[in-house]
Amino acid sequence: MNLYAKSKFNPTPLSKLFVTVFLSVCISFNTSALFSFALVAFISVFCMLNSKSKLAIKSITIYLLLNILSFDFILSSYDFLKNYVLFLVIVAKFFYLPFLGGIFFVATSDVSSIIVSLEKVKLPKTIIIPLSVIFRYFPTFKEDRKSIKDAMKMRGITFKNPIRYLEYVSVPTIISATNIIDDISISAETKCISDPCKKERFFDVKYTLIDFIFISFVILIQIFGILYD
Amino acid sequence: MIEIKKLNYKYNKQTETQALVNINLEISRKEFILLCGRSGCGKSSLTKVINSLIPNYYENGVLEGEIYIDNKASKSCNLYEVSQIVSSVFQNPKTQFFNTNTTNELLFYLENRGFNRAYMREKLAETAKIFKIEHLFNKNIFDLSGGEKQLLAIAGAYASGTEIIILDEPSSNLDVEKTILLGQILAKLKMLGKTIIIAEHRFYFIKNLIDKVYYLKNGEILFELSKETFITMDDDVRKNLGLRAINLERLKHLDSDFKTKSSKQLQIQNMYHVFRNEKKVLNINNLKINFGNIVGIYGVNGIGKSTFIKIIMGLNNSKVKISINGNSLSSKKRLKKSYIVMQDVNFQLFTHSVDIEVSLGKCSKYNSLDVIKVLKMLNIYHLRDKHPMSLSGGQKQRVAIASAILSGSEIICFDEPTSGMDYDNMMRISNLIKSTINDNILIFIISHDHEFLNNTVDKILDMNKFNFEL
Amino acid sequence: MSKSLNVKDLVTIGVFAILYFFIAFIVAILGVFPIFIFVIPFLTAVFGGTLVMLFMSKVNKPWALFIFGMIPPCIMWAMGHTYIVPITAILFIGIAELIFRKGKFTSLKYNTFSYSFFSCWGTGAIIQMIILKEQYIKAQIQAGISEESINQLVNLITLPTFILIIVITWIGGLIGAFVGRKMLKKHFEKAGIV
Repeated sequence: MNLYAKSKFNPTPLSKLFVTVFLSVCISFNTSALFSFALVAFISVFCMLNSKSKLAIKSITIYLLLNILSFDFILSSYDFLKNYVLFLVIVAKFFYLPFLGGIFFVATSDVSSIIVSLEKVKLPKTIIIPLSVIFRYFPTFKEDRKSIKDAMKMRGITFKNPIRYLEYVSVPTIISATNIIDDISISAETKCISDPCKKERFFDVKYTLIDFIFISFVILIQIFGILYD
Repeated sequence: MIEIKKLNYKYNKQTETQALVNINLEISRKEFILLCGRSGCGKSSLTKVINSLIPNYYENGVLEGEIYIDNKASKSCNLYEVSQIVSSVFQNPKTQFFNTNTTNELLFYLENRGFNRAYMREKLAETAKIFKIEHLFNKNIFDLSGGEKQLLAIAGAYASGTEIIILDEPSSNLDVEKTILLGQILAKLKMLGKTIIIAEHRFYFIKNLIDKVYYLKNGEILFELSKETFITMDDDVRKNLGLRAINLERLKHLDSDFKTKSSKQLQIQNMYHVFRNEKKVLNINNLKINFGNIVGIYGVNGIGKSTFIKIIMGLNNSKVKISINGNSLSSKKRLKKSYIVMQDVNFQLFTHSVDIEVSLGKCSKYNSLDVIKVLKMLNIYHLRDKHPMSLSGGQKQRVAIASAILSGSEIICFDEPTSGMDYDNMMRISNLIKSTINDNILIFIISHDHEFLNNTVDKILDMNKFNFEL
Repeated sequence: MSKSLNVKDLVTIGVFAILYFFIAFIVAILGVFPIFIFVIPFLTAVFGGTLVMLFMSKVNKPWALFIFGMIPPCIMWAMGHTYIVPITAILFIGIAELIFRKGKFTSLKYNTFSYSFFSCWGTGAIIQMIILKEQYIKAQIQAGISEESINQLVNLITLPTFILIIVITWIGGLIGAFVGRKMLKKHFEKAGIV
């Protein structure tokens, strides 16, 4: 997700973000099952077009599975556990579409493009910089966590005493985080990040036909789905 | 190009210690300057004055004197204004980047300065040609090795097009091969007419490039040397100055036998580890190591030195059979018997005082008297009530060593214990390790530091021998 | 000292946001047992206290806490939660920001209360379930379950519960803040990073 790539079939991050938010608003309306499935299928096709076939297959299978499960339990008598599972299935189905949109967004957007498109809508740098840092620090955080885990294992600090464990784990985690704050800030400052001039990013994002198709189809299917419910 | 007059600096209004004392310095265009001296002598602070992190980033300090860079008084400039003349490369390749995409990082300065895309493309092509790093473009920085990251940082400094490039211990995390490559790149930069200032402990990779050497002590420039005097310096003189070897020492103990033939033996059988993302395996059929020895683990970055140690310690679940004196040990049991002093020792300090820290996970055979004994031996007894995280790097390392000894570990490993260390500190840790060893303990040292290895280990294991292509 | 956020402050926001998000994430794993869903915001409030109190003591400027706090809900929104999450967050984190300012950014007392309101943003994830309750009751009936058995489950999700969750979370915030103050004193002040 870090590599900038221009794919003909990849909508810009903002289009994907818009679709996710749109879908999340629409869950407060009832959508007919057929059209919901059409939306899942449509987004899955886009996953496939962006060489995420596995994700596409997964998303369709899970959706079908959720549907089957939610019908299969009709037979169930008054059984708390079964209802309980059913409750989960229904909630999952309910939030499925916006989550799928979100996953599609995360799986097919690279950091550079996300940042550039947010800059293009004139988001201030007080938001852009923390977001860039989130992408930057996350992998380091994972590495550091592994080292700290190893160190704790060596010292025999286990979760058997949760309070002590939490206290101990927070010390090296927070200290190494504050150390890296300085390093990242200095590297950005010495590369003139505070220069107030107008900036142009090397990687560019452009809105193309595919954005139009992606957004308008999602909107159309969704609206028809609500109307024909 | 750079002129510093009567400079005094301390990091904090309250402290007495001056970081820099009466610095007078003049550096002209296209010079290659080496700043050297013991750890904490002020060479790093001096680089921060030149790239104006002092006073612009470290806001709490007290700065006196005048600094002119390219005839501009840098004290009245913003950090981004000075950065248009001075590029900086730092010590830790892991932390000195802001982007996750290599091309973004390389062009980050140009983007921030508002250059247009066409110019950036041109610069990118030029940089690719000079440094031959096209294969690194548009990649995830986290997939690069430490050496490649450092190369990228320097290429970025070049792409910025600034006249001055300043480097603060750029080699401390690199292996010998990559350090030499770093030297070749600096040679290119010198040829291209850059003014280069480098603060370093290791000299072998730059000794032919130097124009002038400044030796600092306690924040003062003690004297200035020419290249000739510096590289022909007498060995005893340089040791007295606390400097590391000027030439790359030839590695000893590669073929030597284990020194101690104690009856206790670690046996490694059928170690087989496949590296992810690479077509390589680490494979050891049968290896016996006698306790009572200090064993150096050697090889280029990424060859599996840490993996080897982690497997032995039981932190990695690869297939292996490990036994001590014929008794086979599960990974859980091995973890109980072993300890690693990490390169970044911050990861292994958990508690609020040194006293409690070293007693955490203490072996039941030691009592509180033993704790005092060990603390005294490591010269950290006077710090026993302090918070471990408030100590200096070397002191933290000794706290970790104390924990290792008191945990009753039989296998102790040191991961790059001397990166960025001057001669005195290197010898101190070398002697410390040597005084820890006994017939019941086995010590591994992962290191690229030839001088340190030659002074410390009894035998070197070359990891190349255990690496195979798939 | 300037009042606008500099690069270091913004980097601090980003790094701490990851740590905070991670704590929330670990706690949210409990959500696989939906009975725990109601205590997730409470636990996040307790465990996040140290981190946020440290953040407040490191960045003493307007907007810092607000931006820091809005990142997790906005990410959640972008990943498919409803708009109710960011709206709840704006409300509570807005109150927290105001209290933080009122205490001139350094008053321990004000910061403690600021944090207790701050941590209430997490209830948004539950509030959205309550507001959308009608919708999935309908969905469930469509799936063919008797209303009786659904009520068993959704009866829990009512207005009083929803107020109770906020109050519990708020108290969790107080606990978290006190734990945080203790940790700051015990570790981070001594280590010299505050």
